Amino acid sequence: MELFNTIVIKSDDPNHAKTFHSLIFDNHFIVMVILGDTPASKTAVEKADYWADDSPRKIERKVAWIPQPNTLKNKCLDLLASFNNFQPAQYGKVLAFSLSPRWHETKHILWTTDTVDDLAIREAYLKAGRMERAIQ
Amino acid sequence: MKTPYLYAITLAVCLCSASAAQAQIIKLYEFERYYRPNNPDRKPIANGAIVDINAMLRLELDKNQIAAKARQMAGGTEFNTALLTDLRSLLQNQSHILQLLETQPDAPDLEGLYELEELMTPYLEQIERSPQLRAFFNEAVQRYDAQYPRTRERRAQVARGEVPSRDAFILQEFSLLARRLSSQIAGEIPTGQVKFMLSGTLHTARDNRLIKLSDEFDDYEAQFYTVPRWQLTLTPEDKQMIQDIARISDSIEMLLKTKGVDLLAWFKTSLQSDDCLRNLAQNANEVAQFIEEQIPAKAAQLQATVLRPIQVAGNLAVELSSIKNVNPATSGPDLLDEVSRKIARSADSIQLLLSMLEQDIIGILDVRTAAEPMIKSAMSTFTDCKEKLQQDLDNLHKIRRNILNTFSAARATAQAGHIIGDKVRRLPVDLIPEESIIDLRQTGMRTNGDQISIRATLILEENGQETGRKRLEEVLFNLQQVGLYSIVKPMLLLANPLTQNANVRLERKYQFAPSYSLLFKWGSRRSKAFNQFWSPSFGFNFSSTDFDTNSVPEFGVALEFTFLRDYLATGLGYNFGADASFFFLGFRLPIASVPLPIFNNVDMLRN
Repeated sequence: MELFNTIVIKSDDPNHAKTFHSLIFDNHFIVMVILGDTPASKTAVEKADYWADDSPRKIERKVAWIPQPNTLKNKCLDLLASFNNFQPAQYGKVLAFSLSPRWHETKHILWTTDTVDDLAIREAYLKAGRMERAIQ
Repeated sequence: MKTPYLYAITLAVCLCSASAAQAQIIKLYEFERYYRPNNPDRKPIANGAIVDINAMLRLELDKNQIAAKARQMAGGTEFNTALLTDLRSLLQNQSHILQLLETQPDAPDLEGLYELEELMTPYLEQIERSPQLRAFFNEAVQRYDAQYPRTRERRAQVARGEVPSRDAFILQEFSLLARRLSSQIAGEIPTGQVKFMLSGTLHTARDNRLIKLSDEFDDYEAQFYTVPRWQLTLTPEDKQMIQDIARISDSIEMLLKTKGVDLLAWFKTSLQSDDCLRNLAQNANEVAQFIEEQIPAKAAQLQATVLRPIQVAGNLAVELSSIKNVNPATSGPDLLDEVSRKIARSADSIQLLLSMLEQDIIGILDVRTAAEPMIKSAMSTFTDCKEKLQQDLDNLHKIRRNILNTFSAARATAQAGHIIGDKVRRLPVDLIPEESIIDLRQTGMRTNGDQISIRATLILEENGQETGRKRLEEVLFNLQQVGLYSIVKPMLLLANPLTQNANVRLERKYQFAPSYSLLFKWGSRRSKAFNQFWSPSFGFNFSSTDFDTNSVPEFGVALEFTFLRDYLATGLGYNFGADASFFFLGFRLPIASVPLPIFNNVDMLRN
């Protein structure tokens, strides 16, 4: 399937860390980070890319797909740390997470045990797109 | 005692207790006794009990039991509660979305109006909880993808209103689902109805007749309380949900109306091209005149190109004005329909005018004439007007898209709710009175020993025809004047003078004489034999004995005691004419007695 809104973060790309960082921090995108190359991960990528066609409140959506979850693990853990009660030991169970556009906080996590369907992806985007805390 | 026997005895005791514990459907209380403080007799009138013939009775109906029995009689399959839950969720969310959908009159950018996606939050949260709705959501997405194959232009297409967004499409799909659920639920509703009837009958030695029970059951023929059969097949929770569905549907309709009025308010303040359209027509006339004078070669072309936009601009001004003047009193859905139609027409007109301004008018004003100040001013008006028209056009498109997507979906969902909701408005079982007063004094002619039965009956009807009848319960009680009361009865007596003087010239020991008795009786609540067989009384006897045998009766008065329903009497009296006391035995004559208004308040004609 052709992906319109997805950046694939490959470990063999020398700029992969910079690309990932830039996608998240140099823009005000809602970013869905998807880990792994299991069938569930691929389904999530496909659906997340499709739902990224929409841009409510003119906030664009992007997908960062990391097929090898250990690539940029520390960066991902830093991002996941903003999610309530998240423990680093849970990293292996994370299938995807959505980041808010302004503060780049994790607003929703899809676990490997979750059903990956359109509703789940839509909800992940929705939670990341809600009004964030006031600008200080 | 051996264990099996113990079990048997325990079981028997339990069964008896269970049977005794089964509550009565009809409970009758004698009013005075019911309200007497610390009254140990404060219990319902049992079958066969003796009740004061003049009592006020308090009637209590156990509606839960009536409903349970009616449900049992109505039959029908178990209702699909999951369907109701889903439908209620859909309606609740639709209502919530409408509440959040703010058409801020002061905010012409209409952000609040068209950010449908943001408003879908409650939908998604509810949908997540229902497996059926979740599956439906995913199917709806597939249908969208099939109907509108993905392109890179999708975002622009959605913005232009050429293609609905996925969320808008899903919202519409859920409205359709709501309709389908409603139809399905409506299809599961059993037809027919169950009538509840409470009737009272007075049973006398002569006949039986229906009596008036109370104002709540104010018909002699007994009043029916009709309950749609389907209502009886619902659990209280289901019933509550259906009532919620009706209420939310109403609320959505109200919201639709409110939002429609909000839109009108927005139109009044935010449509910007009104003024420029008026200027446009005036400037176009001036330009036409100028061109005709300065460039006569193009005058003919001018007639065809400039005058037509003037006409279109004039019409558009009228159309926009008519949008602003839509009557807000029009009902919610109709108001939105009307606004939507007018918007579509105005948007087409604006589109046409814009193309005319672009291609015809501005095109005809070539470089040479554009140097003229008047033409410059006109060009500026056209350009300004073009921008305003474009802005109005965009906003009208957005509003129309919202009306078509969100409002229409809400309307469809509300209508779906009403399919069921309308039925809720029928007479519910709750209207059966829970308690009432029966005044036995209003039941007409009655006498001691008569009986009254109060019967609760269920009647099952299909297509207006009675298909079944079931007596739920009947309470039969005896009427009796309880306490002291008076009566006058004719009596034959055998008088035996106890005094021997010159005035007493009887040849035999007893003299036969007519008399009548004023008797004071009292009734018992406990013993029917005391009331109906022994029936003792005390009183006075007034006789006309003739102790001196001169064929002129003397007046005698006696103290009297009667028993066996007054058929036998005895007493001691005094004959005032003969100055002699006497003892007597009396026999009641089998003719009607007359009640006296002393300690009395009863209609009584028979013996």
